[in-house]
Amino acid sequence: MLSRVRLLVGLAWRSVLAHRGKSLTLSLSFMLNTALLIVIGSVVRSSSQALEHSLTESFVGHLQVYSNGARDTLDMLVTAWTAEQRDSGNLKDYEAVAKVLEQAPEVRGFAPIGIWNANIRINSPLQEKVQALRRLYEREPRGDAAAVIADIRQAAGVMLNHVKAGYGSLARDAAENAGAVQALERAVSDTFWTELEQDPAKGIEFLDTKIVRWAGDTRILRSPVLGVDFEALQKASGRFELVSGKLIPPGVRGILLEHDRREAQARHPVLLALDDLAELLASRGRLSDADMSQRRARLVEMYDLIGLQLPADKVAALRERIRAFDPTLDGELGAQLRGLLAVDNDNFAKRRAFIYEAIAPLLRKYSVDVGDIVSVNSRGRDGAPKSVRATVFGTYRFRGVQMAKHVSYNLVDFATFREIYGEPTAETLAEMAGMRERYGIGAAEGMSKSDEAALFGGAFVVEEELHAGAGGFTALVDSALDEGKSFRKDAAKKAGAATTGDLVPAVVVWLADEHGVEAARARLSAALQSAGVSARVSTWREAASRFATQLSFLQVQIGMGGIAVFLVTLIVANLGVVIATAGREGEIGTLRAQGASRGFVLRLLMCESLILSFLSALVGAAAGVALLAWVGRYGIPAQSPAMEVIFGGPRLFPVLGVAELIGAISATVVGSLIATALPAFEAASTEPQVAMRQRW
Amino acid sequence: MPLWIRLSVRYLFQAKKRNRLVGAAVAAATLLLVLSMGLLQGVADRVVEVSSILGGGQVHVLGYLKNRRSFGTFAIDKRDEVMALAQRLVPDAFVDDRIRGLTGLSSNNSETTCIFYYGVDIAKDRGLAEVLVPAPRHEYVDGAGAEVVGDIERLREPHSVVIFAEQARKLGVDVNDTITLRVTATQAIESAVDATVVAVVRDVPDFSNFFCYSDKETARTLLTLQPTQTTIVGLRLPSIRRIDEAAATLREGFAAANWELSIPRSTQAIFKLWDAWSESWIGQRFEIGPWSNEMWWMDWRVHASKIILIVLTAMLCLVVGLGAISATTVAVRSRTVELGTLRALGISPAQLVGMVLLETALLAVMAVGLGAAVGLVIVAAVNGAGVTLANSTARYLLFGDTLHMAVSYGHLFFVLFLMVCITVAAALYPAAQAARIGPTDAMRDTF
Repeated sequence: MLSRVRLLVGLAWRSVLAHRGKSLTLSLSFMLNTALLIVIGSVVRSSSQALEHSLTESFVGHLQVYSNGARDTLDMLVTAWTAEQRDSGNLKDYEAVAKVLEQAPEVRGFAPIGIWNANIRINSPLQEKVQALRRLYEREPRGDAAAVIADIRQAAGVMLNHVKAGYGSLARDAAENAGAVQALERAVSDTFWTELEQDPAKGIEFLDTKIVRWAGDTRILRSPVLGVDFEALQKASGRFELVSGKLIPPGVRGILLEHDRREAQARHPVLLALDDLAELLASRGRLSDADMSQRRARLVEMYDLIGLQLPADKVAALRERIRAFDPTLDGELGAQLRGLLAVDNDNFAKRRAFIYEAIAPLLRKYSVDVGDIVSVNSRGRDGAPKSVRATVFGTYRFRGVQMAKHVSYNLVDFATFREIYGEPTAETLAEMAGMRERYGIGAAEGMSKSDEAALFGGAFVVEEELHAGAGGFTALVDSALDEGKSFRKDAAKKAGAATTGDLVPAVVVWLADEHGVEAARARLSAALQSAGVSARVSTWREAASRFATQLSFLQVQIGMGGIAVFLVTLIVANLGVVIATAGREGEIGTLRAQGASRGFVLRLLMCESLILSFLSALVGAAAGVALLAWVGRYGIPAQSPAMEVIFGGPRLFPVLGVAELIGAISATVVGSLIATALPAFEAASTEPQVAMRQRW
Repeated sequence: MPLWIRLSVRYLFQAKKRNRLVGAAVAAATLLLVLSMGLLQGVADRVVEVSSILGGGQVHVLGYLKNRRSFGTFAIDKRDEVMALAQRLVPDAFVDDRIRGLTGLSSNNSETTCIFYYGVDIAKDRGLAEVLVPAPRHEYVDGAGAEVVGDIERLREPHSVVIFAEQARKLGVDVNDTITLRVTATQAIESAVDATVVAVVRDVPDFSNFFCYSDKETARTLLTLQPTQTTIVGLRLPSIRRIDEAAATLREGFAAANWELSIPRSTQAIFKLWDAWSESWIGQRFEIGPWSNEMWWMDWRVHASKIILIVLTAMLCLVVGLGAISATTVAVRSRTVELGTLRALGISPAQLVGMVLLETALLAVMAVGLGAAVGLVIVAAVNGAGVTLANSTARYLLFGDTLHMAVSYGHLFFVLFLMVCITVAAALYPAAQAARIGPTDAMRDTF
């Protein structure tokens, strides 16, 4: 038996070598098939793993526990517009849930979380300056307001010049525009500031109502907020990264802004426009005259967003620097800035560099910065408007997860979240129930939540403002910590309320073994049930179904591509074998004439195919691994923000898997045997005398 | 006709078995490519078509109106003038306007936000009634039957609104219930109107949460617009392949007519408006761009389909190319005697190369043509049969209730031409080998 196998393999090997040309061309198909299958398989698996890691190592976690009484299923990837629409209920027995999770060996960590929508309204720089002036004048003794006054006069002067120089109007209505000009003329006059010294309240009111409104640049950052226990999040999430600032200290109210969203929405408009144009020029080389002309026009009209922010004492020096940079940029400040922003394909890089070097340091780079105190506004779950003052402690991101355009959360401490979320109190609910009963309104009728809120829960919740001290951000954090001491006493009570049931919408769970998600869900569900907790447990695929479905979409498409390639390779292999065997009819006929049975010829041809395909598959696998290593070095660029999430970042770095390697080699070998079977059978059926005389 | 051309044609039909096999491989690859293209293009086209119908056109002219430096709304002051200009610039487009805003929907039970709220003229709004299909009641009322109540055409009635099943479930409302529409975010004042739900329509993936429709007058009242004003003018083109071209034509035409234009951006409309507030200009300005600038979250599907199609085409071409090298090499070697004899009869090496290449080219053209023809027949049959997708995941993935395939003929011809070229290019090396065959090779070679 062994000697027959040895004879068969020996003959097959000699035949492969004897027909080197045919073998080589055929083996190329097998190699390509193997390499492509390895690459396709690895890309599909790597994207699946990247998405899973992106999500599970962020705030989504592997599992989520939320109330059984929730109207909607838990969605961890809401937008600013959908956050308020979902009702994921409230876990009433957080302590019991925590106890179950603490005892579960498969749980690596867990954190209570809540999601709601909130706006951060950011005042214009001029508005901030007027408020600073108000604070200075309210202080006893009155602070030195000279610098602030100079800045306000400088800003008013920029706006006045805008109209007078004919760059534009402040209002479409001529009378309204004339009124605005009159107010601005007053604001830059010495008389006004002398009068303001005598009656500050009246003067500041004038600035507030007649001047600030024309400065624009009031911004609203609309984003869902994620209330979370930072310590637990940082401990359990492998991808949480603080980009700037500090973590919110325990017991202190604060907010961490999502880095990419802040870059897109809060960066100074001129700097943002310059960066966009730089990116465009980097990708295209040059812009068409029409395109560049439109972008130049938009940049030029933003000149006053620079002028409005310039400190008065730096204007003269800046004007000199601009003149030194380009002597043709002369005239008043507005004209100089407009000239500077009139970029074209050739001068853009130089001018952008100058603006970054000379002007950007004088501006507020971001309309909301680390250390700022902002108003976080929301409409609570009880329908009432809420407003919480919170310190911006820093910016963060989840490493590798670029979701800014789709999903982006600002993070707040849980106490702040409770205020924003505004769960109706037991008293409010009782009062509403009484009202319904009194007026005979059924559960499905009557007033909407907002109407009820107007009646029962309309009070604004405004927390005490934390003012930044003279010592900058560190001092501010310290002062916030000091103030936090008093808060912490209260927080103990509130935290008690939170953990005993009032306000824990959900708990995110991170598992020790990412492969055991379904099993862990089943075990935790059973454990919660036996502990008497009425809660549902969802997996990351359910809680982040939007991206999970998109991943399926991509995987189906890529998988289809893989099948198509495999099928075509099979056909090509079949073709190659047919032609190869047909060309060897003389040789096969000789073998048959020498006494070789049909079975022997069939086995010989199959053995040849096996040897050739296996060796080719090994070489193809090596090529596939090399190709994958090369692709893995540079990464496959994501073409859209959604793909960035699926790729776990701007590029996917596919990694070779043993399953893909073995699968691709096996598929090639099996495919080649299938492709060889029919032509080999046909060749083996050839009669010796026919074979001897036939030429193809 | 020169002898070498006649010979190559004769060879093509003589070596039937070999050519059938080579042709079958190329035809199969072409067929797979046409079917893959049909499926991917079908999904991409459907995304564009449905998105643009729901969003009011494939090319949008969005109006910003700022009466003061720091505040403005979405509005087009001179609707008729703008529509006439758009129609003049793209004469074969269907031009219509809609009133769009961001509104909250409240019922007695719940509230939700409709980011894309449109006031439409259902009698004129081409295609909308086909996309908004009334849902069976059990899709939005627990325990209800499969009866369909409500009618899209009732959007002609004043104070009427159409919502999706998902929204109806959230709001806990049925057809003929009254809900309240209110706006705050984009207007200087808060306003609200009551409207009757005249139809609840079947969910459309990725849209149902954010879209709703009312009659135009209700929207005008809610958004406090003048009779001469609108917010968005949409163009529907005879072919969705002309979107970028039409947008560029409009931009040029509007600029030439001295209208101020904003730089088109693909982001949420409300963010664009807030950015406009911080800019110093006042007056009327337009943003002209493709549908995807408004519905940016759908663009990834179109992108993904395109990229996968390109990768797939490249891989199939590679495989076909290698197959062609293999087949032609074997064919040349098996014909050493014939080719050597031809050389002995006076055929030049260049003519031999031409013969091999021409034979391969003719074979490739026939095979590619056959594969494409079969593929196109299958595409037409699938579309004609209206294959219903029973599975909800398949409905989401393929973006519709039925399987829809589409082929862009421009792309198809390019890809077919590419495949022929690759097949011929793959035959270059074996053809060069054929040119080296001499008369003496024919005498001794028995292969």
